[in-house]
Amino acid sequence: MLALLKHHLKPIRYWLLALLIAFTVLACSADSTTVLEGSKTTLANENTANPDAITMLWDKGYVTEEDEAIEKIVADWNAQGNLPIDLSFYNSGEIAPKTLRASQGGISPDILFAAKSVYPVSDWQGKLADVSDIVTPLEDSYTSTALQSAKVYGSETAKGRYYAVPLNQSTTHIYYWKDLLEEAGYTPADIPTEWDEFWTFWQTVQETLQPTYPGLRSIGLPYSEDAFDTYHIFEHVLSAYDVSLVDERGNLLLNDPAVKSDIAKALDWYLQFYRDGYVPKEAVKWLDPENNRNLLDRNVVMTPNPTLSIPAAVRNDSDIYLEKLGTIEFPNKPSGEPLPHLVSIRQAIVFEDAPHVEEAKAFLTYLSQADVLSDFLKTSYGRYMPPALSQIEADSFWQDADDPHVSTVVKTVTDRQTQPFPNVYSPAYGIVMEQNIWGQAIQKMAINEMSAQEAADWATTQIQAIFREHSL
Amino acid sequence: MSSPHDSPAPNPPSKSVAAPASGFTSRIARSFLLLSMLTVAVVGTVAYIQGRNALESAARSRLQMTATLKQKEITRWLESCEEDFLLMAEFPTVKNNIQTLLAAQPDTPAYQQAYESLSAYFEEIREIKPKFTEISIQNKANRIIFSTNPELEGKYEISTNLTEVKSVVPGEKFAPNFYLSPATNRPAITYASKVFNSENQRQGMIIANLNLKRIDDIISERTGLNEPGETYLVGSLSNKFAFLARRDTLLSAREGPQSEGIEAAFRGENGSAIYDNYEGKPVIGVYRWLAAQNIALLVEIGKVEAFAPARNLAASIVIVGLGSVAILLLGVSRLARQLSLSRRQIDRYSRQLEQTAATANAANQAKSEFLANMSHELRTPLNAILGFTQLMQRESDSYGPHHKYLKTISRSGEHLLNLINDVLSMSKIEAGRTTFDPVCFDLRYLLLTLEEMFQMRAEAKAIQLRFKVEETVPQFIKTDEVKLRQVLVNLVGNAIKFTQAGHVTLSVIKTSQTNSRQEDVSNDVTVTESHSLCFSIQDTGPGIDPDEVSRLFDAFFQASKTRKAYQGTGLGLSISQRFVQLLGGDIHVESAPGKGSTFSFCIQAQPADLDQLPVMPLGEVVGISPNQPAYRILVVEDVLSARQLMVTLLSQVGFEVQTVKDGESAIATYKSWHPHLIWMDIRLPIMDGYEATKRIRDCASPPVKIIAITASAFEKERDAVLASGCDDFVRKPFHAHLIFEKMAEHLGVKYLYKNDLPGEISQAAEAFSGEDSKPSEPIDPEHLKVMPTDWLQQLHQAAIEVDAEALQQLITQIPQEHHVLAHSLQQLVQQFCFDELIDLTGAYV
Repeated sequence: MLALLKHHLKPIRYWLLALLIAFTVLACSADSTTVLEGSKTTLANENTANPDAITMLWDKGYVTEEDEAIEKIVADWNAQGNLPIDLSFYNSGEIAPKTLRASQGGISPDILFAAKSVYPVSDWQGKLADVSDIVTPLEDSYTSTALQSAKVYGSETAKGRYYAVPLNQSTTHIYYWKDLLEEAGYTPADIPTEWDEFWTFWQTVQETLQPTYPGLRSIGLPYSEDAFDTYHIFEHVLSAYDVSLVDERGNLLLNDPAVKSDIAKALDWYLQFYRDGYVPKEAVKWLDPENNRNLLDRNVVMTPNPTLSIPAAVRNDSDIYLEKLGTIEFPNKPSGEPLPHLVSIRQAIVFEDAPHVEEAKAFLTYLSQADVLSDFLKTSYGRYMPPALSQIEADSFWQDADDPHVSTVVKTVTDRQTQPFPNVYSPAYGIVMEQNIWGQAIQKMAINEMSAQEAADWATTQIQAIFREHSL
Repeated sequence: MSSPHDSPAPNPPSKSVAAPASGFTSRIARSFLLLSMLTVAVVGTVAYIQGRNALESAARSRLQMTATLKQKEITRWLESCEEDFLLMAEFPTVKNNIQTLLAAQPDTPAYQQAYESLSAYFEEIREIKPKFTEISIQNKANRIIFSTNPELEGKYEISTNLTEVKSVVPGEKFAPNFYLSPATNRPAITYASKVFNSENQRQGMIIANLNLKRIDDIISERTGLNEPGETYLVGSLSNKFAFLARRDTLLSAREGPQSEGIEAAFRGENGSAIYDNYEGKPVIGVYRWLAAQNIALLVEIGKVEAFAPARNLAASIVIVGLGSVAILLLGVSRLARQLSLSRRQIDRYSRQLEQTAATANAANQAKSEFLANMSHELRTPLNAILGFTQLMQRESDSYGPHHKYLKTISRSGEHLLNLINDVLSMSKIEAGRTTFDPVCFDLRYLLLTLEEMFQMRAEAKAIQLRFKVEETVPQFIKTDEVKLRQVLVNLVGNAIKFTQAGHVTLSVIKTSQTNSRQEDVSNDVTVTESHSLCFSIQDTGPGIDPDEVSRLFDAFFQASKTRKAYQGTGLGLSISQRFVQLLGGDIHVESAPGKGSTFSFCIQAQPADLDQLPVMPLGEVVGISPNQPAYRILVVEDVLSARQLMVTLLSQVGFEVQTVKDGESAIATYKSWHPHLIWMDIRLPIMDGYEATKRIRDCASPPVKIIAITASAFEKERDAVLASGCDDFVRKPFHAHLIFEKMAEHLGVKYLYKNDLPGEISQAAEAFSGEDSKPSEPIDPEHLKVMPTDWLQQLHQAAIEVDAEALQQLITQIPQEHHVLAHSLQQLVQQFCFDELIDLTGAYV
């Protein structure tokens, strides 16, 4: 009888089970539509594009005159009856992500000029308009570094084509207070030109001034991963220690154990000033404007800076500009050889999928005209130099020997040994810069007390991983 | 009758019936529990999922609403700040004072006055417009020359952090520049407006730091978020995500919060999802990218808190469901207990039934064994009696009173044998062990012999016996000859017995020819013709009372109303009916008192295969034909009388005979003496016939024929005998001619026969050929008149004395022209119908 019951029960049980499952599925699926509706995703209206204008995103300047300079160019362009330009300013941290969002949203801006960002190759590759027709006519006058930089985003198949229009160049120099030096009993002529002596000199200055200005620090080196200045300056330190990471064919040179040990040496050297109290404690948190501000506010005696933004800020105060503020080059390498200064090239790009590619290119052609560009750079108080040496040499503004700052920088670019940043040879290195690997390593050492060797290991591992992933 | 082996195997379900009742109850309860738990679980799950979905959907819309509100509020607040700032900067007195401050030297009275005036004014503004924390004026060289916060004077503000405000156009995109204030280490917005002189040259800037505490407040207000929810703004400060505002902004703003929602918002997406927030806590979140402000707005609510009502609902359902299951379970287990009680009762009944059946089986078995034994015990001595009687009758000089006595013994023995056979037949039928053994035979010859057999008796009673066989009735058929013969003997015998005057008629007709499909052992379907033959036996006897007709075929029933009690077992009709049924028919009776009776039945018979027809028996064997080997015959028999019978029978004819009493001796003698044939009794002491046969067969040589002799009445034994290795089988009691026939069949012995009766043989041959199938006339007493009175008196006397030899002698004196008469008388003598002879001749004495 039980067997009979079981026999009957089995099919019923399966049937019931199937019914329950069907019921559950039905009950659960009935609501899935509302769930989907609730989670509907839309793209924010990041679209800055005006259908009747060229959309141009511009890096916000460190001095108001910079903004005014581009505003004037745009006003002139608009006045000439061209398709008007809709100009927006964003600071260097936000401008690249903003552009990316706009691109993802479907409408890219027509023109982007970002002073600080070294855009990841993977983001821009294949999305930029070919601007060879603008740059090729300038080949004769522009520096090879500027031309090489303009090719970075070209693909393998488009070798030799230009995808960016170089608008300026700049080198890193050291800015300091002459009056503070004087208070310490020194003149600018006393500043040594040899590596060790040079840095010891500033330490001595701090020690001398400490009784008068207890909060004063002599060396304004940044130690923060958030400041692009950190790697700009540290690349020079690497260069001083003869560390070459990328050869001219773009190969990574990290296989030699000596390189890693040299990196560790450079990192250790860089950190000593922070450890020994010659640098403000906040330097681990500095953003790019902070070394400017700290020098201008006289919290530090000197600071290296990749542009002439510090003198430009005080250009209207002739006492400070001409008398108190000083600009000098980096000292010689520890080996005694002159340290080649690294040249940054800043470029404007046009997005291929933008609504007004041709008009945008027309504007950049207009802007690249020698006189227009020169006016633009001069109006910006010379924070950047023209990318053509001929323009520098031909213009009295750049040749004014009375301008202590411009003349120093021009001399570096025209007479001294310079070299491009490694990303010009290898686009993957641009990612190393964008991710501020050196800034991160330095901050880890400063905050987490990571040893120089560990930091060097960490940084090289990161760089190798980036090259593995992104080498083209 | 079923033996223990034959009874059906114990029913497997009956075993599980005997399983403990508690197991049954718990199994039912388990099944019920399983199903109901499953149901409760499913209902609970569905309720939870549905509730969750509903709550999620509601939460998402509420969060969306909150986000929209917050977004609008933030935009409005920033716009109002913008308006207030411009109003403040453009206020004519303020403008003039600023221009003075920027143009004049600090030590001039105009400067001092302007400074103080601005101080007072901005202080007031700061108090009535708490949205500005610090208001400062920057000169052309970016140096702060005036500030509501005196500490800032003489310091520099870097232009990249400033948000220049030119004019306010509501709804126009206005991206405030968030930056990380180095002073507070917190996000900051600084509005700036250029100050121009009368020549429209820029002299400096008025800058004001926004009090972002207000944004924190907007964000923290829980409008529409009554549950523990969180709203916060995330911006990108120096390429990193950072909280711009949230409830507890004291947390470091530079933690770099990361979550799926924040990343989606920074990709410019607006939407909602379930993800882990920056603390790793699962949340339902709405994320928005505020494109105008360049910030991400996130409104989130903890998943655990949001779904708590759904969980509570599901928990309630499960608890209520389990409660109901518990109550139902009580009912189910009660029911199951009831079921198991009644099941146990059924078990008891079935056990009782089984016991009863077993008892009945045992009784049946005992009966069966008794019958088998009886059969053996009775047949064996009877065999001896009849056998020796036959032997003694063979003695040609044995006339006189002894001879008469022998005849009487023989006749009585035959009668006794018939009785035993009837009883055994009935018991075999009852045990269901009667089998259908079809053989091919000559139907017409069978009928002829029957007619001859009954003719005398009919004549003796002065009734007419007629055999009417239709032309179309086939001569040779295949069916169970023995049973058909027995039925006919019985029915015709009865008819003659009860009929006092008139006639008895046996009619045979063929009604139809049918095709029947048969499946043989090899599963081949063969279509065979079959004859439907109908037999009817009509008499003019007293008839049968209608009340008794229905009981006519019951065992031991004797119709008493119309038929005076007659000696017999009362089994005849019963056996006949069963046999006919076995042959595929049914006996029907039509009868009325005083009008005679008709017994009729139809059987299905297959056409005979002529190859299988038996050889006609010849006359009595007197010796072995010359020129044949000296056959050695071994008789294995434990009973002395039976042994002597066989020895006498065989050695008389000329065989060399040896005897042994048991199986072992049989083997020994077989090995030493090499007999040509062994007559093997099956029941033997020490080693039985089966075993002995097997052993002999195992020896392989010399070859020997073995024929079993058994007193068993059962067909079953035949199979066992043949299976053990015997070549053939003879059942006790046997006729001497059967013994000789078997030996002829197996050894090829040729015999010399005693009485070469040409008439009989020719008659038999005629019957065999089927050309002349007319039944012999019943003996009319008038026919006897051809013989002298003296002869008739001798015949009468011999019949009274039951002296078959004398009768035989007298019959031979009948002249050739009256051979029919001689033949009829011969039949009567052979059938021991002495009474009929006495009746016939009585008139002449």
